[in-house]
Amino acid sequence: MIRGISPTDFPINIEQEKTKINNKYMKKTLTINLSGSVFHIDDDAYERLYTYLNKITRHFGSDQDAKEIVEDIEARISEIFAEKIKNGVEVINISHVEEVIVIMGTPEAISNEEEEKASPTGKKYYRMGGRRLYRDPEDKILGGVCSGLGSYFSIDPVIIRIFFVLLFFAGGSSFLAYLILWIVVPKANSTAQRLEMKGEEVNIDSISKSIKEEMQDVKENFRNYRTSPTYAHGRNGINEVGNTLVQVLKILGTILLVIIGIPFLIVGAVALIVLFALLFASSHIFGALPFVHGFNFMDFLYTPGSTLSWITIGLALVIGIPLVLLILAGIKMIFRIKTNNHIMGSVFGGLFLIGIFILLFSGGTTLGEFSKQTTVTNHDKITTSADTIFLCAKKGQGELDLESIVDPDLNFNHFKVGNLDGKDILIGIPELRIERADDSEIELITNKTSRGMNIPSARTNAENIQFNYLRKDSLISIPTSYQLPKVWRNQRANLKIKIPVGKTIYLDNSLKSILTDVKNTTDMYDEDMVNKYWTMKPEGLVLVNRAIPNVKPLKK
Amino acid sequence: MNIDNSKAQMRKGILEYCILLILSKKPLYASDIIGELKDAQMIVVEGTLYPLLTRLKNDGYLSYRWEESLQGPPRKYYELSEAGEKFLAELEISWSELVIAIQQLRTRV
Repeated sequence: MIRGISPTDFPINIEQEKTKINNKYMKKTLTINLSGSVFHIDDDAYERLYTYLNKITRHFGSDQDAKEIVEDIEARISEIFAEKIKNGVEVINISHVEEVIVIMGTPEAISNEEEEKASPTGKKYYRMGGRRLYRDPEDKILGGVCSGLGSYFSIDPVIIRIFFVLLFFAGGSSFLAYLILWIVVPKANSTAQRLEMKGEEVNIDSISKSIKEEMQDVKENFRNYRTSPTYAHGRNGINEVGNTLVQVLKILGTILLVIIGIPFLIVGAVALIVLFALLFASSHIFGALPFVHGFNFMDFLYTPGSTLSWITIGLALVIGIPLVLLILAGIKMIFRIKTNNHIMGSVFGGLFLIGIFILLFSGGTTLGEFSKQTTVTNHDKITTSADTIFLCAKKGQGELDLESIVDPDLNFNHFKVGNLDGKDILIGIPELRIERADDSEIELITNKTSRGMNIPSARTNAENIQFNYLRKDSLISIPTSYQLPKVWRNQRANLKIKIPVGKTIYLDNSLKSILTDVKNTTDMYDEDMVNKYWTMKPEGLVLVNRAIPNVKPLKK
Repeated sequence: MNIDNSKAQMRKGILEYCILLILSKKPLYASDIIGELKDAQMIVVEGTLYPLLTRLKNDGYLSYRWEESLQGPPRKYYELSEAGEKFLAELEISWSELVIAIQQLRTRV
């Protein structure tokens, strides 16, 4: 029957009427099989039902029990629909579906009526693909981390356990990883969490499926918005658009979190390993790492006996804890773990503060060891009739050629690092300066400088520096390196040679490394001044051309 | 404190007992159980019942069999198992105790 239009119907909005006709009288229908019964259902009703069943499925999870529950619910819906058909309904429409949803209840209504078995906060989080990382308290050896990982990646936990144990013996880093996971991954306490833990496998299929579901929600929201009165009024629509936007953003956010989380995790883990390697380089676990040099400067800061280095512990805490937090943040982002563990926060905060106190205290103590500086000076005037003084290096220092054991990679200002019998030693590099004497005598001034807790201790430290030249007639042999004692207190040594005007010196090639700021009239660099004769004139050292002699260093 | 919430909590606590009680008379299928529970105003939405039935079944208190129906697909008929009957007996005692306890509190001067 064609609906007649009475004149009183005018004026009406033709556009609106058209839409109405489209919606009311010309709808696509689908044929569905719901729990073994066939129904004709309107397109929009189908989508509503589909979304509802999806929500229900996600609410209950996806293990065997959940499947059964959802099947029962579907059977019941099918029964309600069959009743409608019996009463003369031909096509299931949206109002029938809405009615069914009211009868069966939305997931929220169901969880309100369910017994308190879900998470204690009553909140439920749904994860992309339905599976979340939990620790499994029912299958655990320590914290249930391995079995949780097993569930997450669908691997037998035994394999993961073996993997962890092997890694532990291979370097110990897995122990750290286990601890971190133990702390950060929540335990699957409630049924809902256990369902999520064993939930739908995460793969491309399930991810694309869940994205489709999310998109379905978005579409639905959008449709609701279009048919809602707010659309017509064009007011208060911001909320609806907002909801749709929120869902789109949620999908993007999920992807973004993983993209950000992975570098967090990697950077944090690498930095933590490097930190530990640097701090505990002397221990063998990290010494094997190729990119970390096995030199621990910390060892040289402490007086012998205080082997347990508090500074190391302090540094480990103060730098390590932010790195651990970075790793935790990464893991949380990647696995979308939502925990708000206040205890953990205060533990980390407390440890961090303890670290700072340790640093302040032990740093203060150690700094105190550097508070005073003293120089011990030794003047030695020599009288020689010789016109030319020969200067060369003192080799070997009797027993040990220090330069041969120097590590070329570790070069500090006044010292180098050498390796002697598997132990690091510090090798001091002296300075050799040459100046014009004010009188007619050659003067050798040795300066040994050191820091210490007080002046006497600084003096003792300075006197302990083994830096002594040898002289025989006109030949002076100067050590180009000296071994520093076990405790580094910024020891330095230098030798100043004052040459009277008129005398000539020969600088042997072996002195290249210790010549420091030697002024000369040709403005030659220190390292270029060797293998040459220089005559002291009132204006400074003047280059003299003479045959290069064969200088042999003095030996003790 | 929310009054509706408190009421809901009370009902939740005895929902299991109610289901067992309903099934103790004769085997029923889900819709029948729902009907009785709704009449007694024990549940509002039907979706609540199914997880409970599944859990009771998995715990061994209920069993079910499929029965052909005149209209539509076969139905699941639930009935009490032996363990279920023992469980129900326990709950009966517990309920009686509760009633007595409440009665005492109410009549206390």
